[in-house]
Amino acid sequence: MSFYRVISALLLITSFTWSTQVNAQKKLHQYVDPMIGSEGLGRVFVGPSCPFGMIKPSPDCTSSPNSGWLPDPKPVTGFSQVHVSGTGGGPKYGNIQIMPFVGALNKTEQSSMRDGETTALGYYGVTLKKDHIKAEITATERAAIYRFTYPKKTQKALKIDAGFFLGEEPEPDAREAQQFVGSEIEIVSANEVRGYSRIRGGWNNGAAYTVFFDAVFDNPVTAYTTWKGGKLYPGKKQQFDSGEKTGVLLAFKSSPSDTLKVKIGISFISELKAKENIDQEIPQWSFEQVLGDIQNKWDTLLSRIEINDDASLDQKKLFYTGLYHTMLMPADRTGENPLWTVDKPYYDDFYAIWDTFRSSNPLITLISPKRETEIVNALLNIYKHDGYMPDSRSGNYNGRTQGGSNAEVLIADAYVKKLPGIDYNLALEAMLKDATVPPGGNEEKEGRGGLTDYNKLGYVSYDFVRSGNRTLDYAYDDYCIAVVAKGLGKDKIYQRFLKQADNWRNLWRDDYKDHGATGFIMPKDATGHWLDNIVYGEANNQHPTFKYTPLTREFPWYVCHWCAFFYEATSWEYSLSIPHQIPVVIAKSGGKEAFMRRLDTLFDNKYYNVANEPSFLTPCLYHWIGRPDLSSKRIRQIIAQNYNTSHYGLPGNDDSGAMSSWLAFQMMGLYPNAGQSYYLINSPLLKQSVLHQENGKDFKITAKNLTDKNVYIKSATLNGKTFNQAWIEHDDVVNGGELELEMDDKPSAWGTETLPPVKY
Amino acid sequence: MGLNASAQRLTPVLKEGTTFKYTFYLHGQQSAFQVTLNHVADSLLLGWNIRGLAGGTYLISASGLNKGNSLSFAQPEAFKEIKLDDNQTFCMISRSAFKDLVAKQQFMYDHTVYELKSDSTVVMIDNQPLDVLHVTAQNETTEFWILNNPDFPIICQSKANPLGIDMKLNAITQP
Repeated sequence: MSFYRVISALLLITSFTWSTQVNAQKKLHQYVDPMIGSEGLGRVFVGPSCPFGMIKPSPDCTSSPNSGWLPDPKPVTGFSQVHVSGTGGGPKYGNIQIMPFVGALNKTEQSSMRDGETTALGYYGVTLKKDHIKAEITATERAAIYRFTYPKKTQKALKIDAGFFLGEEPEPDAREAQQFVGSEIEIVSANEVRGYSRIRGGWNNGAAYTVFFDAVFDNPVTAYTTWKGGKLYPGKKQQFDSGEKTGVLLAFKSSPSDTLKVKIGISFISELKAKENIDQEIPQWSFEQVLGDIQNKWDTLLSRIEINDDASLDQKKLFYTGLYHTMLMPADRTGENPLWTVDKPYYDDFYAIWDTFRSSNPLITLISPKRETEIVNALLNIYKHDGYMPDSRSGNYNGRTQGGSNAEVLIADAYVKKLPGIDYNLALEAMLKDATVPPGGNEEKEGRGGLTDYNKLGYVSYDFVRSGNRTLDYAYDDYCIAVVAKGLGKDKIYQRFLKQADNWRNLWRDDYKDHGATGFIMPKDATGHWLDNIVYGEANNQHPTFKYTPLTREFPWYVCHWCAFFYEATSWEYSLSIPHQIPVVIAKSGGKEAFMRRLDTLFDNKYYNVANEPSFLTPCLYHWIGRPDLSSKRIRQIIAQNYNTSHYGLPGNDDSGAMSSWLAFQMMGLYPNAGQSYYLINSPLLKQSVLHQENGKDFKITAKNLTDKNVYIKSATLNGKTFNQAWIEHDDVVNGGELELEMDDKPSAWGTETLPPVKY
Repeated sequence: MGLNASAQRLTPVLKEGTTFKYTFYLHGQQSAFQVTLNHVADSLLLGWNIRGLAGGTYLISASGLNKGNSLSFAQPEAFKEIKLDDNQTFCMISRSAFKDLVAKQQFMYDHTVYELKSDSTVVMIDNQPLDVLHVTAQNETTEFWILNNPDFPIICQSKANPLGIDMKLNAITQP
C-alpha cells in the first residue's frame, strides 16, 4: 500500500468514526443508503440530490448506465451534473462532465479506476486511482460543489467536457439513444468557465434540450487547452458551437493547499442563470456547510414520518431510503422553463406517471401535500402551453406514454384528498382533452393512442399496440374523470365517463379459462373477434402465428417491447388491475372462493410480478373478499423475498421511487388505491409510524404486540373507538389521531365484514 | 457433401455438446442466445440458454431434420421442450434443403426461394472466416449465412428477416 493510500485509509477511518458519533444523534438522513437498489434492476441515482433537486451530480462509469453509476471494476469516466433515478429504457442526460487529473493538458481521456467509494445522503466520495485524487460531491437545488484532494506537489488539473452525455450510440436517430446536437465552452476568467451542452433524444425520444453551466474555482487557472471535435487548442479561450463536442483542460496555480474546490451551477435557461444559481445557493466555499444544508433539508421532510425508535437498523434503512427515493423526482425546475415564461411551478422528469401514480404520488401527498399540489399544477401548466398533460416528460418534452393518460389519476387523487390550490375546472378540461382529442400521430408523446377505436368500439383493438393495457388504463382514467366531474357538478360528463369506466369489460373474455381461473382480458380485433392466434412479422410469403394465452409475453420475440398487447406484463397480471371495480372482477372470476384461488394461483405459481407497477395493488385484493390477513401474508412474503438493504435491494427499476414508495407504504401498514380516497390497512412491519402532517396534526399508526409471530390484526381502534374495517379514509388521516392495531399470531374476523368501498 | 471449402475457412466439428453463441436481434433489442446440440440421433434436441438465466429445448423431428421445409421462430419457453412440427427446423435448415442448395444453388423454405450468392461477405469466428453459404430470399428481404455442413446446416447469421428476429453467431464452443 502506498503512503498516499495509507493516509487515505486513515482519513476514511476518521470520517467513519465521526460518522458513528453523529449516528448516536439519530438524524434521519443517516438511515438513508443511496446504494440500496443501485445494482441489478434498481438503477437508482447514487449521487447527492436535494428533494426533487434539479442538479443531480454523480459519477458516470462509462456512458452506458441509466443512472450514470456502475459498480467496480468499471472505470469512472467523470462526474456529470444531471441524472435520473431508477429508469429503464434508454438513458437520458449525463451532461457537463468534469474530471480531475494530474499533469499535462495533452489528452481528453482521463478515465480512472476507483477505490474507497463512499455514499451517504447528500454526499458522494471516491478515490480516483489513476492519479490518487479524492473526489467529493455535495449539492444544493441547482448547484453542486466538488472538493478534489490531489497528491501533494502535483499539477492540479481538471477536465470540463461539454460534449459528454449518456447513452451515446453511433447510429444517428437510434431509438431511445441520446444524440449530440451542440456544445460551447468559454474561459471567462482565471476562476470561471461557462458553456452549454445541447442533446436530443434519449428515453422519450425528445426534442433537443440545453444544459447551461457556470463553473467557478477557488484557485486560479494558470494554463488551459480547449478542444473541439478531436483537436486540442492550447491557449485558446473559447470554442463556439459548430455542432462538435467541446471542452477544456485546466491547470491550476500551485498552492499550499492540496485541494481544489469547484462550484458548478446549471440552468436550462442560460449560462448567466447558471451563475446566478451558484450565487444564490452557494455564496461561500464551505463544502461542509452545503452538506449540512442538504442533510437538514432532507431531515425536515423525512421527519414527517417518524417510526418507532426501536425499529431495527435494516427497517430504518429500508423505510427512510424508500422515502428518499420517492422524493428524488420529478425535478423541481420552477423558474427554469426555457419554453414559456410562467410564475407557476414547473416540474420535469416524470418517469412515468404510469409508474408513479399508484404509490409515489400518494406518498408525496401524505408527506407534503403542498409539493403534490405543485406537481399537479405543473402538469396543468404544461397542458395549457403544450396542449396535453404528460404521462412522461423529460428534457422539457412530453413522451413517452406507456399506457393511459395517467395524469388523470393524479388529479382525481388530489381531488378526493381535497388538496387546495388546484384549479379543478382547468384540470377537468385537461383530462377531457386526453379523453376526447386524439394526439394525431403523436400518441407516443402524449394523449391517448387508439382513442378513436376506444371511443367507437369501447375498447382499443389489437390493431393498436398495447391495446390491452391501454383499454384498461383508459377505463380507469375515465373513472377518474367521472369522479372529478361529479364533484364539480358536471353531470353529463360524469354520466358519460362513468359508463366508459366499464370499458375494460369489453376485453374481458368471460369464458376463457387458464390454470383454474376464469375470465381474462384478451386481445380482440376491431370486428369484435377474440384473437387466439396472432400473426407476427411482415413477410410476403408466409404468415406465421403465435398463440396468445394469459401467460404470453410476446415481446420482444414476436413484437417490439412497446408493441405487445400489455406493456411489460401478462394477462394474468393485468386482468386483476381494475382498481375501481374490484367487486365486479371478483364476480366475473366466479365469486369469492374462486377469486381467492385465482389470487393464490397467481402468487404460488409466480405469475405475479413484483417488479411491475400494474401489480402493485394486487396483494391487497384479498381485502375485497374479506381476507385482509391473506393480503398481509402475501405482502410480507413479497417484501421478504424481494427487498433488502443491499445494492440489489430493489426488485425492479425503481421508476422514480415507485418500488420504494410501495415498500414504505406497506411498512407502515397502509396502501393507497390511487385516485380514490382511502387506504387499505395491512399488518405493519413497523411497530409505530407517526405522520407529522403539514397541517400540524399528527396521525399515529400503532401495532401493539407486533412480533415476528404476531403478524395478524386481531382488532383495531381509531381514536379509541372500535374500528372493524381494513381500510381508512384519507380524511381520518388528515384529521389526526391514532389507529391502534392489536396484533395476534393467527388470523381473526377483523376486517372481514365491511369491505373496501367502491365509489362513484 | 457440402460445397468445397476455401482453404482458410473454418469448418468446425459439430457433435453433441457443441454450442453456438449468438446475439439475437429482436425488434430493436439484443439478447445473448446460446444453442447447443444436446442430443444427436435420428431427431435433434437443441438446447437454448439466455445468459444462464433461463433455458429450454427445441426438438426437431427426424423428418424435420432430414426433409423439413419450414423454419420455426417459435418463442423459447423457459424450462420447456418445444416439439416442432414434422416439417420444421430451428436455427438451421433441413439436410434436404441443404442438398438442394449445393446441387441447384437454391432451396425452397417457407414458400420462399433462397438463392446462393457468390460474394465475399463472411461470418468471423475467433478472427477466422467461417465456412458459410450466403443466400438471399426471393420476394423477401431475408439473407442467411448457412454453415457449409451437410449434416448440420446451421444458420450462422440472418439479416433483414421480415419476422423481426435476426441472429449473429459470435462463437462456437466444444464440450
